[in-house]
Amino acid sequence: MLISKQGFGHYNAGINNQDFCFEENGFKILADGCSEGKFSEIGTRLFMQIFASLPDHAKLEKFEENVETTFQKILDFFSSVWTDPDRYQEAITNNLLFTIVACFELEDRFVVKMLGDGYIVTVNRHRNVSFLKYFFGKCPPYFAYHYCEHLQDERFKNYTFKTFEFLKTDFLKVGIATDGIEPIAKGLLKNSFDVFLQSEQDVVFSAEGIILANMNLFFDDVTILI
Amino acid sequence: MSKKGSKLDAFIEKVFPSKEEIPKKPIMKTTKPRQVGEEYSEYYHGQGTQGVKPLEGENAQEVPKTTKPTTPASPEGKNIPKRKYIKYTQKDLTILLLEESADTSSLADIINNGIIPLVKKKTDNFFAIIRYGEKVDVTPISLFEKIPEEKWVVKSDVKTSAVDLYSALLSFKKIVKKDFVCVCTSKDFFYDEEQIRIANIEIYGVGSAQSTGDQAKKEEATAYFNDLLKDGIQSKYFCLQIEQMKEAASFGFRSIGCLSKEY
Repeated sequence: MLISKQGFGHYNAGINNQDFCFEENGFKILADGCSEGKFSEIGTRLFMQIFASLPDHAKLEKFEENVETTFQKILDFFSSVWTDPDRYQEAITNNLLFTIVACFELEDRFVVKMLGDGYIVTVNRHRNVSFLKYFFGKCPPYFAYHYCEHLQDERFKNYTFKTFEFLKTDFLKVGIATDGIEPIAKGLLKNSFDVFLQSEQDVVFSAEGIILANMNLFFDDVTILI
Repeated sequence: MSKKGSKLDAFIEKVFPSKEEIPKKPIMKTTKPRQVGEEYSEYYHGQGTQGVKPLEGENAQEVPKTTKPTTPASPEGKNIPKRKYIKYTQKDLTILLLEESADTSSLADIINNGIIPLVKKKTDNFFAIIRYGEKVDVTPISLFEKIPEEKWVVKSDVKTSAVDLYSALLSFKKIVKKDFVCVCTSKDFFYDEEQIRIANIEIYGVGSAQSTGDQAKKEEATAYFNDLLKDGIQSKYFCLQIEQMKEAASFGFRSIGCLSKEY
């Protein structure tokens, strides 16, 4: 199931949906644009297009390498457009600050790679849905910090992907989501959304309907891949 | 102009009968105020105690026995039931599941100042606390009394690392019951009795989501707790480290967060 909807707050402020995602053969990936970035939606879409064009993009072993290659290609393009170093740095912060979360389904387990704020959604073997919130404060880690020169904290340069493994003996399904799903995680929809997360069938249309009907609850853009 | 005896007159007569035709309703006598401990009969709303004419002869034994007590006959020979006014209210229950170990002691400040006030701020709720370390200590639902302050606080001097989370999860059996209703004497002047129903249950857990119990107990505890959560109970668990979050998910907690913000 793949859902990506613009948040009500972004709709009111005239900001586009800054999330972007795709799914293929047990591999899921999403990018959640930072609201502070002026053109985060451009960055997420550019990143996904180039990443999907890489030959082994769905391979777990090559994931970090593929992300780095993608960023390098984007930055090569930026440097050809903005030759002034300040404008080049500005372009990075305006476009490339986004969370990256990927989920690989292997034979015996699910592996989630995460860099930034986001949610992991699990359905355990007793069919209970859990929302695991990964939140790192006001300055979440972004991959683009590796290429920023004027950072407040040098620790930002050391951010790498965190890896989480979920055994299939304990979990039936593992999905990923952006922090826009917080109202669902808090139970504001009275758990009515859980049915769609637990379902084995494609219920995108109904699930989207629930989100649209309660649009005022969702300030941030909502993206769920499960 | 309508003639006397017309259909319209008949209709008006039917809808608005003359004063003589209005049947007199029995006047409900007010009862004198009851004293504490005085016995009184029960009368439930919409279920007046009907007088049952006893059968005679062979069928005399077939008279069904009423379980509800009936009032003595009034001087006029009619049973005048005494009403029992019941106030029905709904309350929410908050259960705190608190780990007592060396790990939680090291984060005592964060838990005492960050998580506990978050739980306690719902002052209108009932509370229950399950503290677990090597042993499980269940503080039952506090209906009207306050839970002692020391039960809320995470101590900073605990050194043990043994925690029995599985027994703690099973101890929910002592607290959470289906259709939990508490009956108590009402403090309200108008009502005789108050029935409080637990409408919603929230569980807040704090700890490492680890347990030193055996595998068999884990199966039992996980199955029981997951079944419990399917009844629409909201649950939140605050892990101490990021790596512990998936353990909490396997137990079925709905919303799982982490106290550590270190990357």
